[in-house]
Amino acid sequence: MILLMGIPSEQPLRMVIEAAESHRIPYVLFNQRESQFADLYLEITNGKVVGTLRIHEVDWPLSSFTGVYARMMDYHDLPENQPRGRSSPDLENIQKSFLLHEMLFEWLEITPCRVMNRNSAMTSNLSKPYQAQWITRVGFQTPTTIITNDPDEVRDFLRKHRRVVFKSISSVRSIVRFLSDIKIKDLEKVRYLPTQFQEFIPGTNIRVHIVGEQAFATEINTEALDYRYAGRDDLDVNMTPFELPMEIKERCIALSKLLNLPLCGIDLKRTPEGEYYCFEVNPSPGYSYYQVNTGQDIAAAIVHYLSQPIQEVSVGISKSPGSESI
Amino acid sequence: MRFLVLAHPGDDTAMRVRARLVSRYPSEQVKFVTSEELVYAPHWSHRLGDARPITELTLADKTILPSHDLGVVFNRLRYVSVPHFELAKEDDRNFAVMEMYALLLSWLASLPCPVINVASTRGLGAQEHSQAEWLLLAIRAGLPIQGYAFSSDPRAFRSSGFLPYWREASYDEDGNWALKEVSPILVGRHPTFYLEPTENIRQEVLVVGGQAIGELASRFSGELHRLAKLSGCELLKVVFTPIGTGGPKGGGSDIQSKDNRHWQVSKVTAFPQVREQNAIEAIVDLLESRQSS
Repeated sequence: MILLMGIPSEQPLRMVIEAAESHRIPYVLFNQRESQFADLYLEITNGKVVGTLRIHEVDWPLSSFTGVYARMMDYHDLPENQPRGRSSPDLENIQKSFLLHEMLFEWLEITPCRVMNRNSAMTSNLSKPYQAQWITRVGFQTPTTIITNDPDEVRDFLRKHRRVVFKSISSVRSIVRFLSDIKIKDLEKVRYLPTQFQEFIPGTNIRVHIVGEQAFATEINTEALDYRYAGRDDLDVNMTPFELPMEIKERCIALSKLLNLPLCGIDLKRTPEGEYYCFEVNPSPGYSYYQVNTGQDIAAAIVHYLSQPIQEVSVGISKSPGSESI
Repeated sequence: MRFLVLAHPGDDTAMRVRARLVSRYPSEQVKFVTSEELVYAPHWSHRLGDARPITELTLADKTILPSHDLGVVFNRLRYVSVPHFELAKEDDRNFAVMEMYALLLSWLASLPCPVINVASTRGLGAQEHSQAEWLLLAIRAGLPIQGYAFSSDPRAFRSSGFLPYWREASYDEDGNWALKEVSPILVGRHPTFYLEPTENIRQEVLVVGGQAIGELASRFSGELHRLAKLSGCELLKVVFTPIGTGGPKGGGSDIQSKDNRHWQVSKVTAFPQVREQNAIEAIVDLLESRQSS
């Protein structure tokens, strides 16, 4: 039995539900929009973790789940927890929603079943340069980068690399832009907040979705600098399945294991010379966009991965990158 | 620069450690830098590429922090504030906080010298684990634990034998959510935590590197060291409370004590407030021993 958590109308979760149904994999759905009809009991005693998830009056022992696909939004943003017109949301319901979600996340950190993905692992994406340090450990090249609040450093970097892009340092989404797009006098604004600048790497974008030991690579052809926003510039995007060289595939799988992200979207670029650069590992990939455009059945891979029997029946703490033992 | 102490203004523990270091070393070898000083530093240059990251950081007082020539860092950072964005729109302010946090995390992780309280995805200056995680780590280390449970609706599920608590809208001295004991007749449908009953006594053990300081330190020495290794923390405070008289509990070593108390772990924090002189000395000794050559 697998547990699917989130908002079922959202495409990535909806496609996982459809895959579970078409492959006859039993599942339980925790619909965040109906969390007022769910309850959790969690107990740690005598060296064991036990508990029950009740959804619409049906009890599911937590031990019955082999895997969890968690694609949940912040409980604050749930429409049920927002004011509606002149009516304030019920404070008791909000508090219950807060604690229920928090304890579910707490359980996801300690459960021995497979989880896509635990919060402690997803937070590597909070800092792109921090994540880049892990990316290089598996042998990937990353673009030369400077994060600075000194305009002179930026000018010097631009002189060296000629084509430079800038983007956010954190997980806050930003549109990648060429430095030449902004007026030079705007460079003084970096004094207020360090900004990330990178050498522009020409080539073809490749998105690799890792599901356990499987890799689904998609080649993306477009004139846009940031293919995610190609539509804003009236540019087309063409996606095709792509066979990665074995060495690159193995590196991607190794990277997902290093970051403890059994499901992730790895952003690569293949240069005209055939070199591969890695930019980022997305811990909550919107894989459905790629599946719809290429036919790669990533959702099926997800449900099959999660339905495998648990191999280690021992309580443990998920490993997060950086928290290495002394 | 041999010792760099990073902390928030008013961090008593960090200030005591700094004072002790300055009493042992020339002042130019010890630098105390607050989170705000890092945010306001006029020159940040954090470079990444094929080689190891290099950072040039100059503070407003013109101090250059030599990232590749530091002996050891005592890191007590937990969060980021951006006072110069106080009047900005909320989205812009939140963005600034996230960006600075991301930079600090990368910088701390890139330092070649030892960092006590390593920065990771679990926190900037402390390995933030939930209560459930800490208790499970304690079990794996061989320590007995206070039973713990949660029910989002006690009408549906409740724990028999455990006492009910509600979470308060405040923090305890270690920065964790505080719990308040409530009468079972008031519980109703309110989300409730349940804790195994204990006597109203506690013993604290501070784990500092390979040392443990406290009355129960020698009894649980091996287990505490294991807990530190499992959690990846060189500084830990472990709180024990007794369940009173009775037979030994499973999951831990024999804990029969002279006064027949059976001590069990009730709380662990990787960000302890430390005031005792011997404990401060132990932290300073740890920093001295971990300096990179």
